[in-house]
Amino acid sequence: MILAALPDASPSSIVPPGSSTVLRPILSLETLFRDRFLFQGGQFIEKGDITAIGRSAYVDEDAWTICLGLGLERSGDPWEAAAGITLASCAVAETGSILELSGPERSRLASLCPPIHVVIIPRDRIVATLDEALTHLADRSAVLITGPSRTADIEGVMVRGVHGPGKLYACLT
Amino acid sequence: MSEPAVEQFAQDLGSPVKGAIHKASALKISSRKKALKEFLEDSEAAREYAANVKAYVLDNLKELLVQFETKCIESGIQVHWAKDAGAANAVITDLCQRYSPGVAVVKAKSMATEEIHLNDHLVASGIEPIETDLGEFVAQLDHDLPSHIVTPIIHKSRDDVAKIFAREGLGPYTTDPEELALQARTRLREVFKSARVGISGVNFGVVESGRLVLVENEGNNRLSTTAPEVHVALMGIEKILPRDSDLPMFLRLLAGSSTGQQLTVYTHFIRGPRRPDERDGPNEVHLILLDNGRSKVLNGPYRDILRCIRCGACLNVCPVYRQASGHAYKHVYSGPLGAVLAPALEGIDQHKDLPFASSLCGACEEVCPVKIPIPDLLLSLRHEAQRARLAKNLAPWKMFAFGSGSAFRWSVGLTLLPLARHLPHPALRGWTVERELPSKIGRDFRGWWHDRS
Repeated sequence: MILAALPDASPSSIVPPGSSTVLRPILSLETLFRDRFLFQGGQFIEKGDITAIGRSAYVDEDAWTICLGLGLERSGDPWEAAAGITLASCAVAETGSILELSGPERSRLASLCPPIHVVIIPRDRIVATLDEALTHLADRSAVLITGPSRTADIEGVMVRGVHGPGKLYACLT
Repeated sequence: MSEPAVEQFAQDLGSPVKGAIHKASALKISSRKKALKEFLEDSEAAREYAANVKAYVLDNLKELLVQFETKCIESGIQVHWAKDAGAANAVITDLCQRYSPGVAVVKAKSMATEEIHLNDHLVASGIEPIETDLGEFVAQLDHDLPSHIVTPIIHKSRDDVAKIFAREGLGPYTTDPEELALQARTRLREVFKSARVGISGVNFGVVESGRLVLVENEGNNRLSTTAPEVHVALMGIEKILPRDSDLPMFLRLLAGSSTGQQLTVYTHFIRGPRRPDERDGPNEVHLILLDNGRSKVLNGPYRDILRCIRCGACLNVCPVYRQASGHAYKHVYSGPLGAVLAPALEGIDQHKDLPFASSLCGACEEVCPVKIPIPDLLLSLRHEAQRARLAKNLAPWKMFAFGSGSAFRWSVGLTLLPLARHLPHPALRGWTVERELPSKIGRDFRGWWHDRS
C-alpha cells in the first residue's frame, strides 16, 4: 500500500498537515466562532426569532425536534420554502464555517434552495480548526458552508445570494 | 515569427478592457497577500508543504490512481478512464443521451470540460448544456469564451452583461449587478429543477477515502451536483491528494490564492451517490479520469506544471497577462500557467509564441501555492521552441558544413558558387532570392596562391 508507506516512500519530506496553521485558541471557541461567522457574512438570531424570518420553512428532521413549539409552518418543498432550517454537524471556529453531513434525517437541498438558511448549532459542536472538523466526515457526503452564497463575476462587485441562500443565520443552542 | 501574437493582441485590446483586467487583477493579488498573512500562521511553510505533497503525488501517480479508483468504486462512484479529449467527450455524451434525452443538462464551472471542448461536442450530439456559474452563463449566452480560469468574464463590463441579458430576454435592461444576478438566478432555477444530469469538474480527489472535493462561491455547483439524478464529474488525473488530512491546508491555500478568501463559501465533499436512507442527492455519480496529454507531461521536462491547483494567482500577478488578457493566449489555460501547460500538453509547434509571452520577472513563482518554478519551465520551453525553429532553417547551413568539410569539396564548391545565383531548386532559391552575391573582382585567392608558389 502506497498510502501506508507515504512518509518514507516520498523523496521529499512532508510536513504533517496543520502543523503550520493557524489559530491559537486563546479566546473561547464560541467567541472565536462568532467573530469569524460574522466576518464571513453570517448573522446570529435567537431561537424565538426563527419564525419571524421564515414562517414557511423546509426543516430537516433533526432540526425539527428543536423547532417544535415555535409555530413554524413546515413546507414540503425546498424549492418553494421561504427558509431552510438545518442542524449543524459541527461548526469551525477557525473559519466561521458550518459542516453538514448528509444522512437519513437531513436534506442536502434544505441549506441550498431557499433564499434564507437558518442553521442551529449546539454549542458543544464547535471545534477549533478545519483539520478537526474534517475528521468528522466519516463515510458520508458533506458540505462545508462558509458564509452566504456570493459572486463577484460582474465587475468584481460582490453580490450575495446568486444561487444558494443570500442570507445565513446561526442560532446557538 | 510568432512571438508577436500575444503582444499584438495586447496592442489591439481596447483600453477599457485592459483597465478592467488590470484593476481586478491588482485587487485579487492584494487580497491574496492579506489573506495568506491573516489566515495562515506561516504561509511559506504551507506552500512548501503543499509543493511536497504534490511532488509526492506526481512521483507515485500510477499507484495512487489505482488506489483512488478502488476507493471510488467502493464508495459507489462509477469510474471511467479517458485517454484523450475524444474519449472523455464520448463517455459524457453517452451518459447524457442515456439519462437525459431531450432535457438540457446543467454544468458547473470546470476548466477540464473547457479543455476538451465538451459543450461543442454535446451540442453536436443534440444535447443542450447550460452553464450555471454566473460568469460562464454570461459567456455562453454571448457565444464568448472565458478569459480567466477563476473569473471567466473579467473582460466584460456590467453594461456588456446588461445588454446580453436584455437581448436574451432575461429581464429589463439594468446595470445593477444585484439585479442582473437575480435575473440569472430566476432563469437558471427552472433549469436546475428539470435537469436530470449535472456535469462538474473536481478540485481534489482524495486517494485515502475516494472523496471528491469541489469548491465554489455561488451554489450552482452544489445545485448541479445535488438536484439532478446523475452527477458526471470530469477530473484530470493529476488532481489527487493522498490523504483527507491534506485537504485543510490545500483548501486554505486555494481560497486564499485565488480570491483572497479564508475559504470558499461552499466546499462539497462527495463520497458516492445518495444512500438508500438519504432524502436527496444524485442516484449515480460517474467520475471520468482524464489523461489528455498529462501522462506525457509527467514523463517529460515540464512535469512540475502538473502540481497546479488552478488558483489563478499567477495570472493575476503577471504583467503580461494584465496587459494582454486571457484571450491573447488562444487557449483555455492562459497566463503563466497556460504559457507552460498549453505547449506541454499539446506540443510546442502549436504554441510557439506562448513561452515568450513573459518577462521572466518571477512573480508567478512567488505567488504559486505549490511553488511551481514557472520561469524555469518557460525558459526550457523557449529553448525547445528555438531549436524547433532552427531545425526548420538548417538546410543551407548543412550544405555549408558539408562543403567546407574537405579541401576538395571546398574547391569544387568555390568553382560552382557563381552558379548559385541560378539555383534551380525552389528551396535553395529561397536562400538567394533575398541575397545578392557580389560580382567577382580580380583573381580568386586559391589560384593566386597556387601560381605564386
